Amino acid sequence: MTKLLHGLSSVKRFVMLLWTNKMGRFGLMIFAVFAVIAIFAPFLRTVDPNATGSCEDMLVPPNAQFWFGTDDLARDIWSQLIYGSRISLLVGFTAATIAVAVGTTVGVTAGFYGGRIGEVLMRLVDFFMMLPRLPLMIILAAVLGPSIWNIIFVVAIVSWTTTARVVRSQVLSLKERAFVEASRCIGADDFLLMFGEIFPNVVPIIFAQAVLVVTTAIYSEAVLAFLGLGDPTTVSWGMMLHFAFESGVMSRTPNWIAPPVASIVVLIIGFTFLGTAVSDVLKPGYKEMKGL
Amino acid sequence: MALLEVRNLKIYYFTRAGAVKAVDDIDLDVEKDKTLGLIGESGCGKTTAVFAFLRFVTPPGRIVGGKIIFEGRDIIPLSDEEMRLLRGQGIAMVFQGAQNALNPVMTVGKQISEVILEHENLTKEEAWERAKEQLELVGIASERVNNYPHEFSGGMKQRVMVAIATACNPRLLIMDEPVTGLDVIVQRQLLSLTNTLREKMQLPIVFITHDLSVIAETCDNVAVMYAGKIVEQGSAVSLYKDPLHPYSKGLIGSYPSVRGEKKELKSIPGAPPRLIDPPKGCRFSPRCAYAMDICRTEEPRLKNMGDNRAVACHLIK
Amino acid sequence: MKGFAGFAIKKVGAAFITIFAIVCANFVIFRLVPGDPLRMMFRDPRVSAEQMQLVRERFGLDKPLGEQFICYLRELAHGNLGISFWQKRPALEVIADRVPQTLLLIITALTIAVIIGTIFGAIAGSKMGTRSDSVILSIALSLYSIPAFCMGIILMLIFAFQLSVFPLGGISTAASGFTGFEYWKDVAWHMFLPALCVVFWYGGEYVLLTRSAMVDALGQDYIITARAKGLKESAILKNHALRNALLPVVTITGVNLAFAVAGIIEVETVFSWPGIGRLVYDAVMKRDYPVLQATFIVLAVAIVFANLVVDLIYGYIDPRIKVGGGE
Repeated sequence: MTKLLHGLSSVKRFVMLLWTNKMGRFGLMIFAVFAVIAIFAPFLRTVDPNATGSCEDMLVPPNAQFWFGTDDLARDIWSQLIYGSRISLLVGFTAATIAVAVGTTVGVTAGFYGGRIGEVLMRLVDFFMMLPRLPLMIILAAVLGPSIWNIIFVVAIVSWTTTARVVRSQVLSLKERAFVEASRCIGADDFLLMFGEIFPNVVPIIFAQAVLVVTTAIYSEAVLAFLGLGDPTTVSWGMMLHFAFESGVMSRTPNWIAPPVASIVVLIIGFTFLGTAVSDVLKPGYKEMKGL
Repeated sequence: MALLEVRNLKIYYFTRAGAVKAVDDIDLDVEKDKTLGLIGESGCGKTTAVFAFLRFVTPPGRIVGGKIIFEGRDIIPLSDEEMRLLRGQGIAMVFQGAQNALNPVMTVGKQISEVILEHENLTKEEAWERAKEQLELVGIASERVNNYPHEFSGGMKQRVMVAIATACNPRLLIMDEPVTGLDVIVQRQLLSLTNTLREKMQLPIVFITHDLSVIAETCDNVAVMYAGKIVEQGSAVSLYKDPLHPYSKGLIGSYPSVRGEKKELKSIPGAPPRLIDPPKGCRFSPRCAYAMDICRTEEPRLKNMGDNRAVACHLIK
Repeated sequence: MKGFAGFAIKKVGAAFITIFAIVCANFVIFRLVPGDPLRMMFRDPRVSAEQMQLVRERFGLDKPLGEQFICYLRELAHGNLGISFWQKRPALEVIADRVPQTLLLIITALTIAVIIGTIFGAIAGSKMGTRSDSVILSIALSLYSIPAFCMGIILMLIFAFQLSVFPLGGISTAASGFTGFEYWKDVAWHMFLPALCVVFWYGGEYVLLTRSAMVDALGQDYIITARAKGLKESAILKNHALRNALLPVVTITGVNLAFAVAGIIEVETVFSWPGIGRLVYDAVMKRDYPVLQATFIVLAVAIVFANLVVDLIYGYIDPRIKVGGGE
């Protein structure tokens, strides 16, 4: 329990460290803005984003009632935009959590046990890394069908490998360090060693990876949705673009296209900057350089 | 007039924690036909000092005072371009045998002829021939001129470095811990090469090391550095026979001798001071067995004792 | 070339193993999906039972899994990657039709991107910490992180919709009857925006890569040696730093080819450029699973080969490998 609390406070400290970095600050603010939008969606003057309407409400340009206008099924674009943030963040974080969890488990196991198990696991990782990501996601999504959990699964499946590699090499270098020998001397068993000693030292790396994976996950969901493989019942920004693309009226409705594109771009840039900040902050000597 | 005269040289590193006084007001003389050894433990400032002779002081370090007079000209105020022309041709340097001191994707021949082509007016073919001669000079078969650095052993790589450094017949050669980390047989080869350079080419050398035995073999004069200051200077012979400064005494005493009686090795207790806030008075006083009250308050100046000896210590009158 | 021959053999061997693994994976994905694979492939209710039975027999879908796999491998060896449902002809043919357009786009765009990216990256790396470096870095990072399809849509919005400078898509103006030079000019006009997209994002990546490789190279000891020789700064940057920095850049190129594929799919889709990328999208829309499956194999194998070529090039330019071991 104390380790958990310790972990939470170190996360808080890490976030505050990120705040000191210019890029980190920018990324955190963007994330905060979108998180707020996602959480408070119903209060932001929205209607049901999936609610279709009558013919005269279709493809309405922006007006007082529909701030960004409507799409070809008379759905309010503003509402779609607001609720779309939920999908992006939800899919992004869920898929990233699964991917990082799987990657960490594989990485720690392969690194800690080494030998045959390690070899086999790393061959598996190598193989997955060789497969082209987007084509793989596409055929998996096409074969499994359009549902939000399938998307999450598909995104996670292509994203776990880098984490596994990074974690494993960290574990390998930690294994050599003296404190592991010391713990062994006092009779700690394998499991305890893995989670008690090695894991806490791998946490910063995992966190860095998590930020990177969230970025890729958000991107992947957007691409898959744009290509028509998303869940049509949950309107995400990518899906909005897909509908716009398929509608044939794209050239005349910038109000339909610009908001989702801008949202995707801003969110991803925000997370990319956050990722850069994370790797800067984790470099040895960062605290000293900032005079902390 | 000496070939190289250093006067009151001060080099500080400006960090957030404060100014690290790496080299604090030192004087050095390098005579035209003598080799000067610079000895001291790691971190005493010797590398920083000689890097300054090539004006290789990088931020956060800065030369804050003093003069470095080479062939009658103070090099500190020189422009970057003038300094660049001096490097490799007026003053040259052989670095510590790091794995990566030679460019791994360039043949050694190219790396030697490069410096020749930069400073002298030869054609590519002539420079290439000179490169081959340089290799022969340092004891490497000239056919290897087309080989890459990774094809040489550590000792040979160091010799290539010497070939590069001497390619343009510099007037002063600096060798920074050139044999550290090499095994003794290779050390021997490199040191005999150094002696050849001294005798055949009459090349004045500044030789940095922390190894006393090496100094004995290659140097005419020695300067002992401690915590950014020169504490003793003189001929190598006199330093060995009769060290004056307590630190020098400790250094000489801590070396085992193959001949002579078996006696207990004396090491110098304590550790070198932090150079951000060096101790008042003599910097060696916290570790000195003979420290007097005055040593802790007043810094001793380097006093010329005549007969090519100088020492900075209150004990010596 | 002893060192290089051994290196090459190892790399080629690894490539073949990878291709085999990809082929197996492809099989697994489509067979282990729950439900009758045939029903999934034939969602069109107009297909009769006899036709389905014919296909079942032809592709051996009524046999046990092990036999199916052998069958699959045999067909693959004969170059049979399945029949397209949508176009009623061999999937390989469908793909082959699209390859030239993709090659045209990729080769043009990537060449420009690599050249521009490497130059700016080298400049940024050599001037690390200065204003120019920060500017180049921020621009490159932003361009690189924007998803390719978003970049495409943005460019389209601005230049095709609002400003009408460039066409809305496709490779040439339909029914224009252009031939020869006129035709190629038309193609170039159509190719401008999609190529720009690729250049932005791929070039951005190269700036980042080259920059960090330059920074690493400039921190090495041999740079100090070079300075001590009194060489000109430009010579040091070119012959010592850049020459070494290019090595890791070449390596990463191979690894990044897989991401290049993703970008091509996105860009071709947005601009309706009739290449392999767009084929993927069309096949998804038309539920043409054989073509989808075939495209996956072709793309994956192409990446493996491209990686192999890059690895071999690297082995040739790094003297430590070309000339072999040391003492």
